[in-house]
Formats: sequence, C-alpha cells, structure tokens
Amino acid sequence: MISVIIPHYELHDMLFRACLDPLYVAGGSDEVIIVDNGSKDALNADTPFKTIRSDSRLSFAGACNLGAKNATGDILVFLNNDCQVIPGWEDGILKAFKDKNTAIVGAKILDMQGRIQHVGVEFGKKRVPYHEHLGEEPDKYKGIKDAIAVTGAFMAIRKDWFDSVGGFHDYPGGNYEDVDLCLKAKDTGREVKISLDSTAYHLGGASYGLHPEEHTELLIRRNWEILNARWKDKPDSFFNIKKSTPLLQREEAWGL
Amino acid sequence: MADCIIGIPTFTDAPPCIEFDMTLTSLAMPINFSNQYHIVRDKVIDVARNEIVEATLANDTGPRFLFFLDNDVIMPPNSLRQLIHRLENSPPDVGAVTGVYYSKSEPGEPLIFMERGRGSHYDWRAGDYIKIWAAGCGLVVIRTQCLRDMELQKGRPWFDIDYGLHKNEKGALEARSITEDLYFYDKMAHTFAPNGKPYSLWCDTGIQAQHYERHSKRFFGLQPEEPQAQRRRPLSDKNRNMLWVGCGPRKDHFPGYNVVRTDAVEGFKPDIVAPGDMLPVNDCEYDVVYSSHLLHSFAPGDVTRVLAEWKRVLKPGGRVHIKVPDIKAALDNSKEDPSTAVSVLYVGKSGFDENLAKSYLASAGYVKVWTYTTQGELNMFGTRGE
Repeated sequence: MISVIIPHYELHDMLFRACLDPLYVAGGSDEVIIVDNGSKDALNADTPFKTIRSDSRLSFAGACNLGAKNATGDILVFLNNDCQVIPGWEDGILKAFKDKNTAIVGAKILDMQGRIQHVGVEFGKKRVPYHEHLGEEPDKYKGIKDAIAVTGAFMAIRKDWFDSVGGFHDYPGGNYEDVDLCLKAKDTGREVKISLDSTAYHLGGASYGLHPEEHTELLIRRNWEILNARWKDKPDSFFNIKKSTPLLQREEAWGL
Repeated sequence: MADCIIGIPTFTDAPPCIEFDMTLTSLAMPINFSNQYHIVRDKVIDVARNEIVEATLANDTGPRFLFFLDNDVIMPPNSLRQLIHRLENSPPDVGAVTGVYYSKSEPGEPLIFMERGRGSHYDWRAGDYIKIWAAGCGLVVIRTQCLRDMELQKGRPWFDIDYGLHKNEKGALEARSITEDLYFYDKMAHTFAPNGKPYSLWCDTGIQAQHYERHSKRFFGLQPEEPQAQRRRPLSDKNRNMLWVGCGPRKDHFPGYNVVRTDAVEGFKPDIVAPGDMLPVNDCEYDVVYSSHLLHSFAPGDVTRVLAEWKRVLKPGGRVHIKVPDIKAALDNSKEDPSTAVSVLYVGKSGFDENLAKSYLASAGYVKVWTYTTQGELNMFGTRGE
C-alpha cells in the first residue's frame, strides 16, 4: 500500500495545478497526505486527500516526518508540491521494492522542458552532492539502477525501515535531508535504487523563493556543512568517490 | 398502445433468410416500450412506405416513432433500442436516426450520403455518430412528429420515385433518378422542426447491418479489413487510455497517456465523431475521461446524465477530469468591470461553482469528488467506484 506525502507551504494554487491535479488523474497511490506546513491561509481540508496542518512552520524534514507519522501505507512516497507524476509511476517503484533489501527508490525527474533534472545523485571530489546527467535527453535512461543517493523531490521509502532510523534528519530550511537519509540506508546495509521507468516533471525550488531572508546558495552551503560533519568519518569509497571524480564548480567556488 | 410502429414494406411470401427472423427476435425494444408491426405485401416500394406512414399517423395510440425495417436487412442485436436511445436523447430537430447497410453491388458501398451526386460517404469509422444528408431507408427510426410536420409543411407524399425529366432553376432540362429514400430525406431536410431548425438525419455507424441478396444468397456489408472497421486510434495496453471528450481542433500531448480524441464536429478530425453525451464507446474502457470547456454547454437538466455517460466508459477506479468556466470568478470580474458581464451570459447553458460541481458529480455516482478553481477555471474530479 502506497502513501504519498506532500509537504506544502503557501502556494496553494501551484499545489493544486502542478501536483495534486496530475496525481489525482494518474492515480497509483492508496492515500495522499498533504502536510500544510504553516501556510498563512490554511489549506481547505474538505478534499479526498488527508490534510495535516502544522500551525508553526517545520523544516522540510519535520514536515515529511509528520506526514509519515500519519501514513498507513507500508511504502511512503515523498513528493514535492511542484512535482507532476506521469501515470504508471508506481509500477517502477513497486518493481524496485521487490528486492527486500531495498530501502529507498528514487525516480527519473525531468525539468519542464522534458530534459533530465535527476537520474541519481553523485558526490564530487570534496563530497558535495550533485545531480549527474543534468540537461540530457531522457529516453536512454531506463530500468532499475543502483544509486548512492536520490532526490527527495520524489522518493519512495519502506516505512518500517524509515521508522527504524527515525525518519529524516532535521536540516533547517531544507536540502540534504534526502541525501542524508540515503547515506543512512547505506550505513544500515540497505540498498538505494533508482527506477528510471517512474517519471515526474519537477518545477524545482518553488518554495525556496519564499524565504527572502536567506539566500538559497547560503542555505545549501550551511546545510552541506551539517551533512559533511555528520558523515566525515566515512571513507571516500562510501560516497563512491574515485580518483577520476571531478572537482565540482560549486566545490571550487566554496574554496573546498 | 404502441410507442413504436415497426414498418416492413413489400414483404413477399417468399421467406427471407433465417437471419432476418433472428433480426426480428433480437430487436430489443427499450423496456416498458410497446410496438406494433405494420407489414405491407407485394407493393411498389414508395407506395408501401407511404401506406405505412399513413397508418402510423392514423394510429390512435399515438406512436412516437416509426421504424422502417427492410426484410433483407440483417441488423445486429439490440440495434432498435440503440436507435431509439439516440433519438430520445437528441434535440427535436433530429428527425431520424439510421444505422449503416451496404449496396448489393461488388464491392458493396455504404448507403450513407453527405450530398446529392457525390456517391457514398467513407470518411467515418464504425462507432461514429454523424450528421448525414441521406441514407437508405432499410433501418431507420423516424419521429412521427417529423412525418406530421412534413405533411403539414410540404404536403404528401412522404415517399416518391422520381425518374423523370425536370426543368432546373436555370430552365434547362435535367434527368433525375431519385429513389424513394433520397426523396424522403431531401423533403425532410426542407421541413422545420418545432424548435425552428430544419430536420436532420443522423447515422450511428456503430450499427452495421448486413444486406441480404436472396438470389445469390450473399450478404453485403462492412468487411473487417476495411479502414471504416478499424479504430482511428487503438486502445493501448501499455499506457493509460484517456478519452478526451470535446477535443475541438486541439491535439495536446498528455505525457504517459494514449489519448483518444472525440468531438461532435467532424472537421476537427477527432478519433471518434460523436456528441459528448452519447459516446459510441464500450462500458469500462478508459482509465481517464478528460473534458475541457464542454460540460457547461449542456443544459442544467442534462449535466448529470452527461456525467453518468462519461462514468459509464470509465473502468472501475477510473477518473474524470473536467474543466469549466468558474462562474463565480466571472461574476466577480463583471462587478469590477461591467463590460465583461456579457461574457458571463455567453459561457454556455450551465454555470458551476465548486459546491454545485461537487453535487453534480455526486449525483452522477462519482466518489472521491474534488474541485478547485484557478485562473477563471473550475476543475472537477471524480472517480468511478470499484
């Protein structure tokens, strides 16, 4: 049984049009839970979706964990509120979970031009995560593959394992809680997969612009420091970093 | 008491084929519907048809329909019920609805015509419901009101065979070869219905009959390999199937869906030509029914029936997504800018707000009903229960 959990803040119209509308039509889940994460105008709860309201604003991780607490499915799918699923998305996810050791399954995410936004997360030379194959044509990416990490924009997780590791680690403001969870999976001896036959379109960063008080790049930098500190004892091989791994532009810019 | 007269002209004593007997036993009238047969033996066809019309109009039980069935036309089972269903759900200017049968020639040609002198009409697929100019009279249901109006406005006869020489509008002599059926449909098209529109003839091409030739004992009709027998767009077994009702000229791409486009207007080149409230589509065939800015063009009394028709073609668990103008937003705008008020009047026949939309969906039997408004549009969603 699949529970879709959508953390949400403020942009109700975008949630309806970009996320819930295509999700309703595509189907594929047994339960949809919207976590209304402190929006000033509370979301109308008179819908066929389960709406959970937090009056104060939680982090992305906090909103996800609150949604998970209220979910009844054994598979949790965290979906961003600016993410549009393509019908049949659940087939690839369920296929990947046939392997009992798989804890997390990601999906193929396309940008609004239909190009690759995400087919898995890799680490740069200095352990900064990045999306590989960005901007490529999507058609050649098919089947189920191993991944170091996958994006939280559309991430399926086995609930029993999720609960056993205490859910997402709290990263203030959001970013890298998804990568962190994938590293937890590896650390607990479980697999992270990406099902390239499950597809969604993703606007990306729709809620970030709502925090003028903090520049997105600064937020990413700060949260990376948290990620790096939490996992600094692991060897490079844990992050699949090899001699050939490039130094990322961002790593250079950050002076790492 | 008769709701429908079944008229069989020029029945000869020579028994027709067993298939015709089976046609008669499988006509399947609508339930709680009665009929009377009127059979004319061994008369010239136009005389026989006129006699049947006269008898129908003189029948004091007030039949509403006359069904002409030729004794060499082999109908698929339940066809009469379908034809009457079409007429009952059509506006009063739809005077008659016919199925399709073919000429007894090699090869057989469909007896449906769009214009005089242009030959058979082929631009259709079995299942289309289209407005045509004329057809044969071998399997046609006609409103008795239409027959009455023809007599009042144009005079008798209803049927005539006209092989004579006539002066045309320019005064030149012209040879005509008008069979009784073409005479009838042409006269009907020049008669006005109670709603002020000229009567029209529609054809349900889902009703494909066989035409029996008694000397060679052959059946003429649509062959399975002909393009008219093929779906314009086959259903997919890989992707979800979406029926787009009222597509207009648009051909939007819906990622992950196999989209079958339907519209009542043939010029939009839809996959299925049919009005939105009578889809020539099997029950439980589609995962999704999508319709944008069509539902509000039906009258309020018809909305639930239309929604039920869309639910019928959905698989259990299938979903409907409907867009209509957001009448509340339109009214609010018109308060700010009265010059836009006129657009509120012209949005269609029905107005919807979220509550009304939900109650329509519920009364048509949908579950998990959901609505939201955005940018002047009201989006309606419902699911067909398991």
